[in-house]
Amino acid sequence: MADVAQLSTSLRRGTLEFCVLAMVEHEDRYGTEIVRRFGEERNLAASEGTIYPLLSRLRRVGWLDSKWSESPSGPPRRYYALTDSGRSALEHFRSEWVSFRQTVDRLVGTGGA
Amino acid sequence: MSDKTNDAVAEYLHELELRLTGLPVLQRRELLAEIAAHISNERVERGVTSEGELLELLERLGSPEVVAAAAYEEAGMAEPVLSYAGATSAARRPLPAVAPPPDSPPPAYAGPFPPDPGFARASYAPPPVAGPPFAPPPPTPRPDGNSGLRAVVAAGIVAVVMALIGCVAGALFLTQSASVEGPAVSVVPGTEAPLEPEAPDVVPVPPTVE
Repeated sequence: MADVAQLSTSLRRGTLEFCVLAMVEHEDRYGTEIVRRFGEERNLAASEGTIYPLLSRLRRVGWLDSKWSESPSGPPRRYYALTDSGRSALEHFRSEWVSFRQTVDRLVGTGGA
Repeated sequence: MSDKTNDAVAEYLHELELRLTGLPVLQRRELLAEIAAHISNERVERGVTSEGELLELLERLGSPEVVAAAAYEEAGMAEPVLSYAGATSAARRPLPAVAPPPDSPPPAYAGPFPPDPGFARASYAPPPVAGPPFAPPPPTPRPDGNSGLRAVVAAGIVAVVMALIGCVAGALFLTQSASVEGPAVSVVPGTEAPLEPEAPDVVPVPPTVE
């Protein structure tokens, strides 16, 4: 069980952040919205609270921009937007990921027919 | 009911804040504000009212320990020891190589010390001629005179002590070897030899006295 958890943690590391970038690629989203979206993905399931430190880092490295905005109902929301450097980082990941995935599929035998 | 749920939220945020004290203040405040906003959003948008629902909400968020561990990892920092860190977070601590450098200064301190004495000696040597005020130079001759006498006395004492040790050691050897093996007896003459030279040292003393 511990090994399974370790594996998913390892796989998530280095990929989750690009899933976050992709999530705000076409429209700005606020934190809770992003967190909820991840909560629906079983394979990515992590404690929701751990997404916020990740968002903080992506903002600090300049891949995300954020601004607080009033909400029609409830407390103010912090909206995240993809920056230009975030966009190019996402594009770079996409090309890297495809070749990476193909290599792993070939070596592990998960390429399918 | 609402008091209880508010208590739970306040307690959660307080626990989290305690564990984030190692983070830079702005990162800490930012995270706390986001988590607080998240809880408020969820309560409003999901219509969370009961304490049970709220605890579920906090459960999904993750324990303060888990959230704090993620915060330190994303900040590239070692988690403070004060947290009730589990094995996984403990394993992460050694990774950041930032901590070691602060410890390295001590070795640098050790360096300066040796040079100072050396510098002092070098400056001492020339002054004896030109600088009378220097007290140290005069003392140096005294040690020489005294040291000469002392050296002789010390050498004598050492010789006597060595002789005594030799006697005792020889005696022990004799007794041991004799008790264990017969052939050891042949060694006796050899052990006696060292004793003779020591005798002369002691012998000369009486004549001088007389």
